[in-house]
Amino acid sequence: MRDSVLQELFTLRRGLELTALDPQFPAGVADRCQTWLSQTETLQQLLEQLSYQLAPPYIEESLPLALQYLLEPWKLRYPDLQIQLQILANGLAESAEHNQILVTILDEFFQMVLPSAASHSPLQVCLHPHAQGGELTIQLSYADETNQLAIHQMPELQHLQQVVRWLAAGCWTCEQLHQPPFTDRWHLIWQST
Amino acid sequence: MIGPKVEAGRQRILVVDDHEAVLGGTVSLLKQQYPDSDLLTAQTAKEAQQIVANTPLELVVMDLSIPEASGETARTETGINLLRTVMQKHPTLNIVVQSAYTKALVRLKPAINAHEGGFTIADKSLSLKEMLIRVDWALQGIVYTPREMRIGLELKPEWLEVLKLAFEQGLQDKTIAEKMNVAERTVRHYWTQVQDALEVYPETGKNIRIQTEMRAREEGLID
Repeated sequence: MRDSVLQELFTLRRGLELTALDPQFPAGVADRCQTWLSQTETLQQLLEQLSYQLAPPYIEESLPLALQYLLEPWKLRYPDLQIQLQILANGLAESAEHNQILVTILDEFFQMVLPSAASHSPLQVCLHPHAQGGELTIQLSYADETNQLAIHQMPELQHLQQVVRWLAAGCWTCEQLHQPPFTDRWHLIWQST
Repeated sequence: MIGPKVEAGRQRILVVDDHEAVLGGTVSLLKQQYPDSDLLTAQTAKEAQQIVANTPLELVVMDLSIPEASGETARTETGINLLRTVMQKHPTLNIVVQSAYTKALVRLKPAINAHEGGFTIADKSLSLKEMLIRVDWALQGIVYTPREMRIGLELKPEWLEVLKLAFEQGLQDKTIAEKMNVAERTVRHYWTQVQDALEVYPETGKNIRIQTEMRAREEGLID
């Protein structure tokens, strides 16, 4: 998509931009070009978003940047949450496949837990080295204990923990604080591939 | 490889893109903007390397997704390798990367940080006007990389030292260079890098050094 469809669309877009600027065409042509141009820009943005869904950015290059990119839409979706990313393992070099699995797991996890997170509370994601691999620590608080317990009873969460074990050669544990502010501290630990 | 006969003393710009329409469009745009320049073109990495090796250039505007040689498939990896080689062999050459997937450039971050020429990234979703601004910045020796290529504020110790010497001790570049035991050109390179890290870029009517000082104070980098 990036090497062909988006390139072709860029060619079309530049053609329209240059035509709109060309004085040899009557003003009406420039106006029509502007309309097509804005439609082309919309199409370009939609295709870019689709390409990022199919192949999330930075997966091949850098796990920290891929995590940073993953968190951006969550920040927009939950503006009351103070989502923070701390990177203590900048040099962590994992394969693209491994990064893809980690980012997908984290995205699924957020979909499960963030609706239950207490608003105006911090959500801290930290990437740090661990033995021969890495560790992601995710700390968040819930509005009350009912929400916290409900999360731990979700079968999807157990499935996700199995995915971590099978696909990421890792383990996923949680420290729970059953009193205000009802905090969970998740540890996703893996061996480097 | 096509291009006008190169005239001595004129600014030379090389445009690298395998899409003929994009190449033609970019060349015609640059020709309008810089009428006194010689525009050279290349559609493959091989052609581009030959021109860069044999012609003194002021600027290269290049796509990342290009083929190694004629008839081969365009690949981002080929553009990345070409860029790496060009930056190694020509550390002061001004470069604009115009690509549909500029995020791949993060692989070259250390090389971009070390590059002493202008270096700007123009995502292909940019309008013509914005793209021309990036070209102008590169020709001025400015560095522009998108914020999403950095985790927070990424500063090298030497860039921070330039800020401190300039804004805490009020030193000029020449004296800073002497104190740091580097060339004055290197100090200018540190300025462009620190300005990119702080996201301070040229704006009409604004003094870029003063803007840099204000941003550095906001970030608590200087007293």
